[in-house]
Amino acid sequence: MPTREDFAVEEFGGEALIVRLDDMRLFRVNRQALTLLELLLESNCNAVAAAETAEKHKMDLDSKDIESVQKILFA
Amino acid sequence: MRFCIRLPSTDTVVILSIKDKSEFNHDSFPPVFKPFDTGSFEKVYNIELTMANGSCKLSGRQLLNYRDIVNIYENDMQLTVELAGTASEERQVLANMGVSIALCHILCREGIFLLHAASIARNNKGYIFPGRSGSGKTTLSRLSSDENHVLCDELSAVIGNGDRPENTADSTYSVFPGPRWAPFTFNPDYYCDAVWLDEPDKVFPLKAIIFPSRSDLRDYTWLQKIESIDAAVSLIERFIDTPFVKALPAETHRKAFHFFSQLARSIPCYSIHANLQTDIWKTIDETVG
Repeated sequence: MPTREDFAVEEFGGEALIVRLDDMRLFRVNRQALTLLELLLESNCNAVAAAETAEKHKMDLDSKDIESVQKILFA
Repeated sequence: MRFCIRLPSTDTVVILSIKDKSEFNHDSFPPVFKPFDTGSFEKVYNIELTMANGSCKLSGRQLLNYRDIVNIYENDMQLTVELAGTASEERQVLANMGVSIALCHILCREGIFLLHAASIARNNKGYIFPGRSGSGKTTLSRLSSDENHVLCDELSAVIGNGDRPENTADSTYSVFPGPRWAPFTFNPDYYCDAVWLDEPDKVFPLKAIIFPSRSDLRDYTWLQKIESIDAAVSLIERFIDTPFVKALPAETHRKAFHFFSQLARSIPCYSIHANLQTDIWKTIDETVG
């Protein structure tokens, strides 16, 4: 299961670059997707726990954000 | 037999020792290594090349294992490149690869990052043209006027001046030619006059990063400013292009990622749409300032 240590993040205004350190694969995401990724990593990729936290914070996630985070974690 | 190199713009030296002398062709190591030169340096790294010996376990952290043929171990300033017994014609290639990876790791540790890029010195300022093969970086770099000096047209090295204010007060980063690796890696014809370390302290404060853009539909030359995030993506991609980078450990990848992100924020980045019949440097000077 991926952990926070597997990635590095740099924020540029409303967007962020994420690199998967193992293979240096780069991902460009918006702020929402970055927050979702961080929630998932904090909850050991437990989607239910991450969704609960996202709801608590009233995050407005769309399917594209979820899809890009899935790609970062598992593609 | 020992060889060494001094890393430009640092007081750091890397010594290559070959333990099993009879196994290797001494003349075939990366040309950046010169016969051992004594002197005192602040920091000394050692790369030791050895054949695997089943009875002895090497100490240190394993940095890389390539198909159980090449192992690299790191123990503070000591890197050991260990080769398994292979056919002799492959051995030299693997030895070069292992030594080059170890050197690449040391460069990153010392804050020197390589880019697939041409670089030019003009009026004592550095300009980088990063690009994959065929992007036009060589063509652009050879359109040089008398004020220009082509540092190299394939592999450039960038160093942050944060810890080295003596390098230059003009820029937060400097550029110099990247090292020439072993002949098997590159066609030496790709290089202009990039003989690393002939002038080890000659580094140039980085003024601009200019990405070549290919298109035939242009009547004149223009430069377009690039957003930091776009420049960071392109720079990191050109870092990954360089030899052996993917083999480096995750912590080195992390360091490089942050380095190039910060570089993209700090140095003006442009794309150039060049009509080669025009004076492109006039346009660059007018745009970059």
